[in-house]
Amino acid sequence: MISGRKYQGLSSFRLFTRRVKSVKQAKFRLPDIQPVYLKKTAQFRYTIIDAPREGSILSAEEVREMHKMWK
Amino acid sequence: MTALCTAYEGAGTEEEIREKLYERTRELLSDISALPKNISTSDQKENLLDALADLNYSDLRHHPHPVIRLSDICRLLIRKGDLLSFRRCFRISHTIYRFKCRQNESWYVSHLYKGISQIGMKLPDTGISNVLFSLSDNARVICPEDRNLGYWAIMSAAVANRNLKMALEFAHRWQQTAQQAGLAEEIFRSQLIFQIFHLLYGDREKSRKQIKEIMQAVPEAWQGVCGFLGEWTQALCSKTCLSPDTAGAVSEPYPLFTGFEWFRPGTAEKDQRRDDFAFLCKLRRNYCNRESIRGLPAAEIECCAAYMALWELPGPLHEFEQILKDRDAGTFHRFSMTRLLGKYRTSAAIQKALTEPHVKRKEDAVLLTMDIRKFSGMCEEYPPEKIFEIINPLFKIMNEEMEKAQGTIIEFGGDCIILAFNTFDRSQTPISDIIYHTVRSIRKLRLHSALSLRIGLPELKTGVGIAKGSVAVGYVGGLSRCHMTLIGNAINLSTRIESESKDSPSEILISRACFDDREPDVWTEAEKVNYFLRDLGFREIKNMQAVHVYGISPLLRYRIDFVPMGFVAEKEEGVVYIDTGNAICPGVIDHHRAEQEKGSACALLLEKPELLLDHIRDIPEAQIEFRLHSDPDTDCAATLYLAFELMAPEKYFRRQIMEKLAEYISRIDQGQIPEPENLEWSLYGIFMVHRNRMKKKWMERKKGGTAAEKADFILLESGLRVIDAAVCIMEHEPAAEFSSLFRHRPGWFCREREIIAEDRLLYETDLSHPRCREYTAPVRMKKSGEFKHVRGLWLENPQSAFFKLWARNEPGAPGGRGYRFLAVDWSAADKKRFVISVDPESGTDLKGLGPLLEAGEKIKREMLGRPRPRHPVRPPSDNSDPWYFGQGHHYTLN
Repeated sequence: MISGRKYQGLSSFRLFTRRVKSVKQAKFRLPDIQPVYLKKTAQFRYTIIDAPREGSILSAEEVREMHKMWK
Repeated sequence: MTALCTAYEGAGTEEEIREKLYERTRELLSDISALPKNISTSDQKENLLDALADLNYSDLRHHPHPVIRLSDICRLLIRKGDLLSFRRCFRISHTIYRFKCRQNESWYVSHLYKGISQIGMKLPDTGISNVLFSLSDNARVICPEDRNLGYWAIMSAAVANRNLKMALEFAHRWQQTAQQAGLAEEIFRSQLIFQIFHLLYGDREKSRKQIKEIMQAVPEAWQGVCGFLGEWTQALCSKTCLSPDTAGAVSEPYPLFTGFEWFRPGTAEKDQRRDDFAFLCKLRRNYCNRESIRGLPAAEIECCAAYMALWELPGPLHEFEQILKDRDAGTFHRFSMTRLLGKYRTSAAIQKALTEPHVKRKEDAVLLTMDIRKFSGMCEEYPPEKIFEIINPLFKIMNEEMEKAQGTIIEFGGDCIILAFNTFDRSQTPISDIIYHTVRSIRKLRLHSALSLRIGLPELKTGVGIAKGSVAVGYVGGLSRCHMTLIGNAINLSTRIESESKDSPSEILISRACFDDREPDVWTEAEKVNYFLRDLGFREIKNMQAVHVYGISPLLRYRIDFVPMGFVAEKEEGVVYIDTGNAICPGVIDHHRAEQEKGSACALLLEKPELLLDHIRDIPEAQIEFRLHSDPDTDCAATLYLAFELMAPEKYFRRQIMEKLAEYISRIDQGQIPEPENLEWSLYGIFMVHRNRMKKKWMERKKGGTAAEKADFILLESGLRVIDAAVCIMEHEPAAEFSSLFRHRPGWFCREREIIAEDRLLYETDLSHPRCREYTAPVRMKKSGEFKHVRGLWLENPQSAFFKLWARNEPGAPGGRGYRFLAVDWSAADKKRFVISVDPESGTDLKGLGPLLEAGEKIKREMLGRPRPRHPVRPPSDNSDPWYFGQGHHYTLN
């Protein structure tokens, strides 16, 4: 059982991926803060993804694993 | 609104200002439920202020009084007066802009706070423009507190620009506004400023009177400053000498001036910057009466006198000169002659040996004539003594700047001055230096003109002609009364060329002879090129042979300012938004609109020049301003270049080249780099490397401080320089393409070319890194929504700057068409960052992967107990710092 602030080893990783797999992909609404770059730049939409400004806590391996799961 | 301006109550000391600031910030964040819990320590309080500066329109749009609340906070930040506070205020000013209060007052308020912040961040030129705009006659809605702050900031900026007369003008306005509004603290502070000015001018009577007024009611927090000024006044009015060591730290509860210090105790004179205000104050305090000056050696008295002349302080200058005359008559006479004849002519006159010929010939003299436009009309309109006041600052600016290039004024002729280079001594100033300093002086003149307009003086426009040729240096008149001067055809030529500038797209015209009758090769030393250069061909000159001339104008020829990416602008008089603003209307040229089909702002402006021209019609040049997004890119710079081209007389418009440029820029802005194999010869490649190189040099040279604030100007100036060089090549090589045209001038931007070649090698090193790998990546087909696998690259902290371009065009990639998928791990010890992208041209995207990674981030953070701050929420996520899903586009291109 993983609890609190422990996240180590393969079991943690497996639990993490299991939880991620169970996530139903949320229908995110586009923000209205920048009503620009919508139709005209459709070619560019969703062609790039960036980590949070203050940094991610995901490891490179986890990112790759999630990329594989993505459908 | 005035009734709600309560921020200053109980904010009379540094501590009180800080507490008030936290209190106001806490209130505002509570109002929008964005207040983090348990704020008590000072670090946490600072985080609170950071959170405030991060708020945007969305976060505050439901608040009943966002502008009033934010304004209160800005006023406190300005009063606090440190660099960090100005940076925060600057960011908040952009948020304020979005809120449209009654009569659009928020525009003016926003510009005011932005301008004051810029002055505080040592960007006085841009800051002055913004503050003046906010204080314009249209801005009657600005409350007295804010108007008062504006005048105070401009007064400070005028001091920073070494213009004490102008500073006094605005100090008067500041005091009047404070008196009309009954702002006791501001009245008191303005009295202190006037006292400093009186002391600097050495005005005993006024300073005695002023200090009496000040001492009648001194707030406790200001006692240190008042004591210091009282001691200085006493020394000025008596024979007491103040020892330099007696001045301790002068603590002020909040700054008297903004953007610089006025007194720095404890710094040895040799370590002080010699051109700043603090040095002047220290000098005047230590040597404020004849007794204290008499204690100095003659050489130092001469230095001090020169410093008084630099700051235009006639009384103190006279005092220093008189004592110098008593001490060392020879030095005094040389000093006086220098003031009358100029440094180089005095030196030539004094050092002339008896055996030298009476008249000497100089073959390669450079002559510069500068003339004030519409001077006759000015003379009719103003009394003659006022004309002195109008034109003297202008000639002073020219002289100071040109002496840096070893130039000397040989004639003052009413509205005209003639300068000579390479004549009176053996120094040889390269033409590049002469042009560089001429352009700098023109820019300074424009700023001065903008300020002059505000105090009711006329706008000053000038024309400049530069010619090269042989002249004779000698004395005219008899030996008993003579005058050292120059005679030669080059002088007449420079004057005639100057008169041609009236009908030209550039205010500076220069003859081809100045470039040794060759095509100018100025971009071999690109860093010195702070101007646009344009071949204007042969000009018929009255009573002379036709002359081949080039036009020169500053790269930043109009007022420029920057706004954040994604800024939403409104139409404003005299202001033109370029490649930002989120609108297409006169004054806002932004192609990032759903209904717009043009691939770049440059192409949009070319198709609809009326967006610019209709908007600025009948507006004086000094009042036109361009606003661009921060970190200006190729489209931004090219659109500005096109705008300048359109603003010149129609016959000078180079349509074919501009069409070609707009087409090229559109492709770049769409992420399609034409002929990537020719990157090192392309406009795009040189543009990117040159601007980054210039920025890096700038940041290294001006370590820390406010270097970052000026970086956008450096980027834009560098970018415009490269575009102008490219357009210049295109004029001579019409068949060339922007994607490879620097092949025609291999000597230009050589270092940039080397860097691109080095970058390719770095990319190859990146590829050979053990952690770089080919990667089978799932991607989504845009049209069908189906998934497929492509071969991509996973790079770890690549050293190459153009890695994306190299990778996407890598012939060694499967299929020989480059890698369509790229993941870059930018992680460092303290921060993990991954940027994942697909080629926009490939017909694939990553839709859905971002939300999945965001979900993973959330789960792992929950497991570790490390949640992210929730407010302000960044939609479409539910926290303040989510993954970026790729809904915008500009990230793709960087």
